[in-house]
Amino acid sequence: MVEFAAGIAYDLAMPILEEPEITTRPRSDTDAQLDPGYLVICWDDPVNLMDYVTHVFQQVFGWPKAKAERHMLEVHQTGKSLLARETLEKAEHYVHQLQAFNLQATMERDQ
Amino acid sequence: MIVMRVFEKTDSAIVLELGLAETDFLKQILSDYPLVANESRRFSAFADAAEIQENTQLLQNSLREHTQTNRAKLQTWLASPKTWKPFPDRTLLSLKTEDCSWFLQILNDLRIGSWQKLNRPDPEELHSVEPNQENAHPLLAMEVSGLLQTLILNVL
Repeated sequence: MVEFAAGIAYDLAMPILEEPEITTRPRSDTDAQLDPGYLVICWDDPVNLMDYVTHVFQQVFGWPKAKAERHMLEVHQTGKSLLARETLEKAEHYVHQLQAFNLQATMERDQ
Repeated sequence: MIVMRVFEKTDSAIVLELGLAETDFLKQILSDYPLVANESRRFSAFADAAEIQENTQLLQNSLREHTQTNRAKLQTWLASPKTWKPFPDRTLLSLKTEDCSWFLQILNDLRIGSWQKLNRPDPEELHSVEPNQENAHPLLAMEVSGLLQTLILNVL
Protein backbone atom coordinates (compact mmCIF):
# COMPACT_ATOMS: atom_id res chain seq x y z
CA MET A 1 0.00 0.00 0.00
CA VAL A 2 1.31 3.50 -0.96
CA GLU A 3 -0.11 6.48 0.99
CA PHE A 4 0.13 10.03 -0.43
CA ALA A 5 0.16 13.27 1.57
CA ALA A 6 -3.45 14.02 0.72
CA GLY A 7 -4.39 10.86 2.45
CA ILE A 8 -5.31 8.96 -0.69
CA ALA A 9 -4.09 5.43 -0.64
CA TYR A 10 -3.60 3.03 -3.50
CA ASP A 11 -3.20 -0.66 -3.24
CA LEU A 12 -0.46 -1.60 -5.67
CA ALA A 13 -0.65 -5.25 -5.04
CA MET A 14 -1.53 -7.26 -8.18
CA PRO A 15 -5.06 -8.57 -8.13
CA ILE A 16 -5.34 -12.31 -8.10
CA LEU A 17 -6.85 -13.46 -11.37
CA GLU A 18 -8.56 -16.72 -11.73
CA GLU A 19 -7.33 -18.84 -14.60
CA PRO A 20 -9.90 -18.70 -17.42
CA GLU A 21 -11.72 -21.81 -18.26
CA ILE A 22 -11.17 -22.74 -21.89
CA THR A 23 -13.86 -24.74 -23.56
CA THR A 24 -14.37 -25.77 -27.17
CA ARG A 25 -17.41 -24.23 -28.84
CA PRO A 26 -19.35 -26.67 -31.04
CA ARG A 27 -19.16 -25.88 -34.75
CA SER A 28 -22.20 -24.09 -36.10
CA ASP A 29 -23.63 -23.76 -39.61
CA THR A 30 -22.15 -20.27 -39.79
CA ASP A 31 -18.67 -21.68 -39.22
CA ALA A 32 -19.16 -24.06 -42.11
CA GLN A 33 -20.20 -21.19 -44.37
CA LEU A 34 -17.15 -19.15 -43.39
CA ASP A 35 -14.70 -22.00 -43.89
CA PRO A 36 -12.60 -21.75 -47.00
CA GLY A 37 -13.71 -24.88 -48.76
CA TYR A 38 -13.02 -24.65 -52.50
CA LEU A 39 -9.99 -26.09 -54.19
CA VAL A 40 -8.39 -24.28 -57.11
CA ILE A 41 -6.82 -26.84 -59.43
CA CYS A 42 -4.77 -26.36 -62.54
CA TRP A 43 -4.87 -29.17 -65.10
CA ASP A 44 -2.23 -30.17 -67.60
CA ASP A 45 -2.67 -29.31 -71.24
CA PRO A 46 -0.37 -30.13 -74.12
CA VAL A 47 0.07 -26.62 -75.48
CA ASN A 48 0.87 -23.99 -72.82
CA LEU A 49 4.60 -23.29 -72.51
CA MET A 50 6.14 -24.32 -69.18
CA ASP A 51 7.76 -20.91 -68.60
CA TYR A 52 4.45 -19.23 -69.37
CA VAL A 53 2.61 -21.35 -66.77
CA THR A 54 5.27 -20.45 -64.18
CA HIS A 55 4.88 -16.77 -65.06
CA VAL A 56 1.09 -16.94 -64.70
CA PHE A 57 1.31 -18.59 -61.26
CA GLN A 58 3.69 -15.83 -60.15
CA GLN A 59 1.35 -13.14 -61.47
CA VAL A 60 -1.91 -14.55 -60.13
CA PHE A 61 -0.76 -15.76 -56.69
CA GLY A 62 2.26 -13.50 -56.18
CA TRP A 63 4.42 -16.57 -55.56
CA PRO A 64 8.20 -16.57 -55.80
CA LYS A 65 9.55 -18.24 -58.94
CA ALA A 66 10.66 -21.42 -57.14
CA LYS A 67 7.18 -22.10 -55.77
CA ALA A 68 5.53 -21.30 -59.10
CA GLU A 69 7.93 -23.66 -60.87
CA ARG A 70 7.22 -26.43 -58.36
CA HIS A 71 3.50 -26.23 -59.09
CA MET A 72 4.11 -25.96 -62.84
CA LEU A 73 6.19 -29.15 -62.74
CA GLU A 74 3.51 -30.90 -60.69
CA VAL A 75 0.95 -30.00 -63.35
CA HIS A 76 3.28 -31.24 -66.07
CA GLN A 77 4.30 -34.47 -64.37
CA THR A 78 1.13 -35.58 -62.58
CA GLY A 79 -1.56 -33.95 -64.70
CA LYS A 80 -2.75 -31.42 -62.12
CA SER A 81 -1.75 -29.31 -59.16
CA LEU A 82 -3.76 -28.05 -56.22
CA LEU A 83 -2.97 -24.34 -56.14
CA ALA A 84 -5.16 -22.99 -53.35
CA ARG A 85 -7.96 -23.80 -50.92
CA GLU A 86 -10.22 -20.79 -50.58
CA THR A 87 -13.73 -19.48 -50.06
CA LEU A 88 -16.05 -19.73 -53.05
CA GLU A 89 -15.60 -16.05 -53.86
CA LYS A 90 -11.79 -16.15 -53.77
CA ALA A 91 -11.65 -19.45 -55.65
CA GLU A 92 -13.79 -17.91 -58.39
CA HIS A 93 -11.45 -14.96 -58.53
CA TYR A 94 -8.39 -17.17 -58.98
CA VAL A 95 -10.08 -19.40 -61.56
CA HIS A 96 -11.15 -16.31 -63.49
CA GLN A 97 -7.58 -14.96 -63.45
CA LEU A 98 -6.03 -18.27 -64.50
CA GLN A 99 -8.56 -18.78 -67.28
CA ALA A 100 -7.97 -15.25 -68.53
CA PHE A 101 -4.40 -16.44 -69.13
CA ASN A 102 -5.84 -19.52 -70.87
CA LEU A 103 -4.77 -22.03 -68.26
CA GLN A 104 -7.12 -24.93 -67.58
CA ALA A 105 -8.16 -24.12 -64.03
CA THR A 106 -11.21 -25.35 -62.18
CA MET A 107 -12.56 -25.12 -58.66
CA GLU A 108 -13.98 -28.04 -56.74
CA ARG A 109 -15.72 -28.20 -53.38
CA ASP A 110 -13.35 -29.68 -50.82
CA GLN A 111 -14.75 -32.93 -49.47
CA MET B 1 13.86 -18.66 -90.84
CA ILE B 2 11.98 -16.32 -88.50
CA VAL B 3 13.82 -13.05 -87.78
CA MET B 4 12.92 -12.05 -84.27
CA ARG B 5 15.12 -11.25 -81.29
CA VAL B 6 15.38 -9.11 -78.18
CA PHE B 7 17.10 -5.89 -79.22
CA GLU B 8 17.19 -4.15 -75.85
CA LYS B 9 15.96 -4.66 -72.32
CA THR B 10 15.75 -1.84 -69.81
CA ASP B 11 13.95 -1.55 -66.48
CA SER B 12 10.99 0.08 -68.17
CA ALA B 13 10.74 -1.67 -71.55
CA ILE B 14 11.65 -4.51 -73.83
CA VAL B 15 12.51 -3.72 -77.45
CA LEU B 16 12.15 -6.53 -79.95
CA GLU B 17 13.67 -6.58 -83.40
CA LEU B 18 11.57 -8.12 -86.15
CA GLY B 19 12.12 -8.70 -89.86
CA LEU B 20 9.69 -6.95 -92.20
CA ALA B 21 7.78 -10.12 -93.08
CA GLU B 22 7.55 -11.02 -89.37
CA THR B 23 6.26 -7.51 -88.59
CA ASP B 24 3.49 -7.81 -91.18
CA PHE B 25 2.55 -11.29 -90.03
CA LEU B 26 2.53 -10.29 -86.36
CA LYS B 27 0.25 -7.32 -87.07
CA GLN B 28 -2.02 -9.63 -89.01
CA ILE B 29 -2.35 -12.26 -86.27
CA LEU B 30 -2.73 -9.65 -83.52
CA SER B 31 -5.71 -8.24 -85.40
CA ASP B 32 -7.32 -11.71 -85.10
CA TYR B 33 -7.43 -11.54 -81.29
CA PRO B 34 -9.31 -13.17 -79.58
CA LEU B 35 -9.25 -16.67 -81.03
CA VAL B 36 -10.19 -18.75 -78.00
CA ALA B 37 -13.95 -18.91 -77.42
CA ASN B 38 -15.12 -18.27 -73.87
CA GLU B 39 -17.91 -20.80 -74.29
CA SER B 40 -15.39 -23.63 -74.39
CA ARG B 41 -14.22 -22.94 -70.85
CA ARG B 42 -15.09 -25.23 -67.93
CA PHE B 43 -15.00 -24.04 -64.35
CA SER B 44 -15.41 -27.40 -62.65
CA ALA B 45 -14.19 -30.86 -63.57
CA PHE B 46 -17.50 -32.30 -62.38
CA ALA B 47 -20.73 -31.63 -64.23
CA ASP B 48 -22.82 -32.13 -61.08
CA ALA B 49 -21.13 -29.43 -59.02
CA ALA B 50 -24.33 -27.41 -58.93
CA GLU B 51 -23.13 -24.42 -56.92
CA ILE B 52 -20.20 -23.96 -59.29
CA GLN B 53 -22.26 -24.43 -62.45
CA GLU B 54 -24.58 -21.66 -61.24
CA ASN B 55 -21.65 -19.27 -61.41
CA THR B 56 -20.38 -20.45 -64.78
CA GLN B 57 -22.43 -17.91 -66.70
CA LEU B 58 -21.16 -15.09 -64.51
CA LEU B 59 -17.56 -16.19 -64.98
CA GLN B 60 -18.02 -16.48 -68.73
CA ASN B 61 -19.52 -12.99 -68.89
CA SER B 62 -16.67 -11.64 -66.81
CA LEU B 63 -14.08 -13.29 -69.08
CA ARG B 64 -15.86 -11.92 -72.14
CA GLU B 65 -15.61 -8.40 -70.71
CA HIS B 66 -11.95 -9.01 -69.90
CA THR B 67 -11.29 -10.10 -73.49
CA GLN B 68 -13.07 -7.02 -74.84
CA THR B 69 -10.95 -4.79 -72.62
CA ASN B 70 -7.81 -6.57 -73.84
CA ARG B 71 -8.90 -6.11 -77.45
CA ALA B 72 -9.52 -2.39 -77.00
CA LYS B 73 -6.12 -1.95 -75.34
CA LEU B 74 -4.47 -3.99 -78.10
CA GLN B 75 -5.97 -1.81 -80.83
CA THR B 76 -4.76 1.35 -79.09
CA TRP B 77 -1.31 -0.18 -78.60
CA LEU B 78 -1.05 -1.32 -82.23
CA ALA B 79 -2.04 2.13 -83.49
CA SER B 80 0.41 3.99 -81.27
CA PRO B 81 3.51 5.38 -83.05
CA LYS B 82 5.50 4.58 -79.91
CA THR B 83 4.94 0.85 -80.45
CA TRP B 84 6.56 0.42 -83.88
CA LYS B 85 9.78 2.00 -85.04
CA PRO B 86 10.21 1.18 -88.75
CA PHE B 87 13.53 0.83 -90.56
CA PRO B 88 14.09 -0.12 -94.21
CA ASP B 89 14.93 -3.73 -93.36
CA ARG B 90 13.45 -4.31 -89.88
CA THR B 91 11.13 -3.01 -87.20
CA LEU B 92 11.71 -2.32 -83.53
CA LEU B 93 8.74 -3.19 -81.37
CA SER B 94 8.55 -1.53 -77.94
CA LEU B 95 6.76 -3.12 -75.04
CA LYS B 96 6.57 -1.50 -71.61
CA THR B 97 7.61 -3.86 -68.82
CA GLU B 98 4.25 -3.31 -67.11
CA ASP B 99 2.50 -4.52 -70.29
CA CYS B 100 4.51 -7.73 -70.69
CA SER B 101 2.08 -9.94 -68.81
CA TRP B 102 -0.84 -8.51 -70.76
CA PHE B 103 0.94 -9.06 -74.08
CA LEU B 104 1.91 -12.62 -73.12
CA GLN B 105 -1.77 -13.25 -72.45
CA ILE B 106 -2.67 -11.97 -75.94
CA LEU B 107 0.05 -14.07 -77.60
CA ASN B 108 -1.05 -17.13 -75.67
CA ASP B 109 -4.63 -16.71 -76.84
CA LEU B 110 -3.38 -16.60 -80.44
CA ARG B 111 -1.17 -19.63 -79.93
CA ILE B 112 -3.88 -21.74 -78.28
CA GLY B 113 -6.56 -20.56 -80.70
CA SER B 114 -4.33 -21.52 -83.65
CA TRP B 115 -3.66 -24.92 -82.08
CA GLN B 116 -7.42 -25.43 -81.74
CA LYS B 117 -7.83 -24.54 -85.44
CA LEU B 118 -5.33 -27.29 -86.25
CA ASN B 119 -7.57 -29.77 -84.34
CA ARG B 120 -5.35 -29.84 -81.25
CA PRO B 121 -2.41 -31.93 -82.49
CA ASP B 122 0.30 -33.14 -80.14
CA PRO B 123 2.77 -30.21 -80.13
CA GLU B 124 5.62 -32.75 -80.46
CA GLU B 125 4.22 -33.70 -83.85
CA LEU B 126 3.76 -30.15 -85.10
CA HIS B 127 7.15 -30.08 -86.79
CA SER B 128 6.23 -33.07 -88.91
CA VAL B 129 2.93 -31.56 -90.11
CA GLU B 130 3.14 -30.84 -93.83
CA PRO B 131 2.05 -27.23 -94.42
CA ASN B 132 -0.76 -26.71 -96.92
CA GLN B 133 -3.05 -23.84 -97.85
CA GLU B 134 -5.40 -24.65 -94.99
CA ASN B 135 -2.99 -25.11 -92.09
CA ALA B 136 -0.11 -22.78 -93.06
CA HIS B 137 -1.54 -19.72 -91.31
CA PRO B 138 -2.33 -21.34 -87.92
CA LEU B 139 0.97 -23.26 -88.00
CA LEU B 140 2.96 -20.08 -88.53
CA ALA B 141 0.82 -18.17 -86.01
CA MET B 142 1.65 -20.81 -83.38
CA GLU B 143 5.33 -20.59 -84.21
CA VAL B 144 5.55 -16.80 -84.19
CA SER B 145 3.46 -16.26 -81.06
CA GLY B 146 5.31 -19.05 -79.22
CA LEU B 147 8.70 -17.64 -80.17
CA LEU B 148 7.71 -14.16 -79.05
CA GLN B 149 6.40 -15.54 -75.75
CA THR B 150 9.70 -17.34 -75.18
CA LEU B 151 11.78 -14.25 -76.00
CA ILE B 152 9.79 -12.10 -73.58
CA LEU B 153 9.70 -14.71 -70.80
CA ASN B 154 13.48 -15.17 -71.06
CA VAL B 155 14.17 -11.53 -70.25
CA LEU B 156 11.49 -10.92 -67.60
